[in-house]
Order: sequence, then C-alpha cells, then structure tokens
Amino acid sequence: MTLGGLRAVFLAERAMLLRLLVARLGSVEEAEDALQDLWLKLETVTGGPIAEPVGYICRMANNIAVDRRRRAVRRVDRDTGWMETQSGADEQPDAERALIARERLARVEATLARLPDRVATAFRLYRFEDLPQKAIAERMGITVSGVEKLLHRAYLRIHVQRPDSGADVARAGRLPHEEDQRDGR
Amino acid sequence: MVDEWTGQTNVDAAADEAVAWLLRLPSAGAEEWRAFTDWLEADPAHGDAYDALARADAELDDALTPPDWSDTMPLAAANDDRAAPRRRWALAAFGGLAAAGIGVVMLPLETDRAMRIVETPSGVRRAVVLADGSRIELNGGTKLAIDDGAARLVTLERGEATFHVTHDAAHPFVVQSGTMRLEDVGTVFNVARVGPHLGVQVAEGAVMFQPEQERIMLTAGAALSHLDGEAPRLSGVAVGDVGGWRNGRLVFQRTPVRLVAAALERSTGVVVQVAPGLLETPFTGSIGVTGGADRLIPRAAALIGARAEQVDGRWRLVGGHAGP
Repeated sequence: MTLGGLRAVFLAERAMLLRLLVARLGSVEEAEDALQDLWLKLETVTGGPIAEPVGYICRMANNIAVDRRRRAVRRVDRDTGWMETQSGADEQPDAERALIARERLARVEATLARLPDRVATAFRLYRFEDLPQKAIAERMGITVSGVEKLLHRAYLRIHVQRPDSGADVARAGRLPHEEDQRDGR
Repeated sequence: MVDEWTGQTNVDAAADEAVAWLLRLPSAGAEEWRAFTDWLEADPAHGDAYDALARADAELDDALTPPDWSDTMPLAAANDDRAAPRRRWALAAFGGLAAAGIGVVMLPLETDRAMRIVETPSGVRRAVVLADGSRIELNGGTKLAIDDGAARLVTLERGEATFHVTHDAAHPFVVQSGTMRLEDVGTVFNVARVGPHLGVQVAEGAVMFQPEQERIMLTAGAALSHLDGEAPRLSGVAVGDVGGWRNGRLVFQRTPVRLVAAALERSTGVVVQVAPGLLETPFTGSIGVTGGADRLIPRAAALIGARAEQVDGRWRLVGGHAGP
C-alpha cells in the first residue's frame, strides 16, 4: 500500500477514526491531536501489501490512544507528588522503568504459575512469543476459539482480577503430555 | 458474570467484554472497529475498563523489551504474519508508534546490512522475524548474529533457537555455529550450542549439515549431535518434540546431564551446575518447565536420579542415589 493509498483510506474513514479516538481519549480536542499524529505517522509506513487497510489504520489510531493515555496517567502520578520530576521529561528514567517492568513481569510469572498449564501456555505463546492465535491453536491441537477462551481466562486473571488469591491452585488441570516423565537413562 | 474457571461472580461485565475486545482487535476489520467504537460509546464504564486493560497490557511490553533490544532491532524485524499490537517493542524507533498491527504489512528491507546481534538473558525468550519472513525463536541465554541481507546467514554463538525458514532456492538460508554450517532446504529446525557441543533437530523439511564437507542431509525427525573435533552422531527425535522448550517442555534422549542442566538454565535463568561425576550421565525423559526454579530444579533432579543443592542462589546437581 502506498502512502497515497493509506492517506485516501484515512480521509475516507476520518469521521470514524475521530469517533474512535474521542471514545478512547474522552475529549474532542485530544482526539483531533491524536488524529494529526496518525496522519504524520502514515508517512513512516512504507511498502508492502496491507490486507485490511481500515483495520490497520484503526489499530494505529488505537495504539496512539494507548500511548497518550499511558503518558497522561504517568503525568498524573507525578503531579500527585510521589515522584520527583526530571526537568519536565515526559518519560520516567530508563532504570526506573526497567525496574517497574521487571516487577510487572515477575507478577505475571507468579500469576501464570498458579494458572492451569494450558491457560499459561496459551498466554506465553501469545504474549511472550508473539504467535498468532491460529498458530497457537495448531501447536496446542485445539481450535482457535479454544485458544481465545484460554487467553481470555489468562487476561482476566493477569490484568483484571489481580492480586490473585491462589485459591484455584488445586483445580489446576494439566495436559498429560506436559507432565514430567522419566523414560530411563 | 460467572467465570466458569474460577467460579468467581465478581468479574465486572465491562472488564470481561474489554478482554474480549483486546483479543479480537488485532485481527479486526472495519466492521469490528465500528462495533468496538459503538461499545465504547454505549457506557463510560466500557471505555474505562478497556483503557485500564490496554494500559496494563502495554506495560507488559516494556517488561518484554530489554533496554538494549530496541536499539539493535531494525524495523525489518517487526515483520510478522499477523496483526500484533504487542509487536510494539520492536518499533521503538517509531517513537512509540505502536506497531499498529503489522498485519500482512511488509516493512521495508533495512538498507543497513551490518550484522545485528540479538541476545537473550537466561530465562527470557524472544522471537525475531527476518526481512525474508523467516522466523527465529530464541530460547533464553542465546546469542545470534543475523545478516538478513542477500546472504541469509545467521550465526548461533551460544544457546538455542528454533528456525522457521522461508525457503528460497536461490538464496540458501545458512546457520553457522562454531565451524559447523547448516543449510536449509525449507524447514523448521532447532539448533542448540553449549560450549563445544552442537545439537540439531529437524521438525519439517530438511537441513544439510556441513554443505561443503560431509553434506549430511537431515530430514524431519532426524537429530544430530556434534562435539567440536569429533564426528557427528545421528539419532531420531519425535517431530513434535523439536524445540519443545517453546511450549515449556524439555525432551531428552540419552542426553548428558550437563546438557540437561544447560537447557534448564536457558529456560529458567537460574545457574545450574553439575557435579563432575554426573556430567556425562545420560538422561532420557521429559521435564515440564512449570513453576518457579525452586520447585522445578529439585523435581528435575529427582527425575534424573540426582539431588539438587542450592548454594548462594546457584543450583547444583549431585549424585543422589546408589542406583543404576
């Protein structure tokens, strides 16, 4: 898709993109800013066929919204005073971000360890190894909708229901082939 | 809403729907995006739930992005065969343009043909997609040098990786490790390097080992074990077991315990030493990499017929019984 092609799609879908961004960001003004960002970012997309250009641009728009929301939330955290700002820098220092990220990953790992193996495996393949749901379905020998169900459970537990009580440990099911096995030596 | 798995009834309906959207949007078309916008507009609680979820999920991307990774990752590596907002880390150079679901978008080839180094710490796995569409999954503790220009040459310096190679007869894909070379014939294969030992297992297609010398053709189900300076040994492997580490399952067939320990170390990030008397003891079996190292290593040791001792944060496998 050429830049011109993407721009044409953008212009045709502008109203819809604005609606999406207003709904995501909660203000028309900020949504207009984000739309401007999106227009500029189209230039950085070069080459190659895009199967679903509208979906593609919507994802770009939504990702811009996520970035803006994250920055806004970080600013609020700083303004409430628990963190010293660094000469107006928008980003947290790298070391600190890395520390937060590591803690986050450790929490996710701890949650995964308490989830049924199949749920944890689906999540790892999807989120850590970037496999598409279809490929996960093939690898795990289940349907794509089965994968979606497993991922749904994992996401609920990891992002929504934390902290986890661990009450379900005893209910954790395992695929037989994932159990340890000693065949001799 | 009742989560059938946990039996909990307090899962907020909006959060539940937000999760469904988060999972669907990477592959959504125009109509689904419209439906998503309708859903957001229907109730402010929807927007809040989705926003909290999307931010939490994006935090995870930070966790999966070692600081030195984004610098060495050219954009071409973001090629993927599907829509993927979580590829965002690979696109750090876009100033946070969130990768926008790469979908079937092919980003341009990098003009910079210099080798790039891709490295994972122990316990951390990664996937890299090359400009030609070939995909490499790196186990923990792995270092690769990639030249995805015309030469399609990848050097495995240490660790383990599974290669999904897009075959191109005119431009053979070559994996080099030490002085050994492998050339693909359209393939999925796993290569592990631990010091002087090189292990190759083929899941699909075929690989030529040492195309300029021995020319050993390894087809699906073949395994090759080579120690520097010695002749390679051939054996078989169940195709489904190739690169089992990717599913958290380590499968061994008459594998010396020192290589088992190296595999545990790659998967967990925990140093696992082996008592000298145990180094060459062969082990056959499979180990599920589940739970923390504190439970996993003793479990693995028991399976091997050894004991696990922990000293200063390091694990050591020592002879455990007087059995066979």
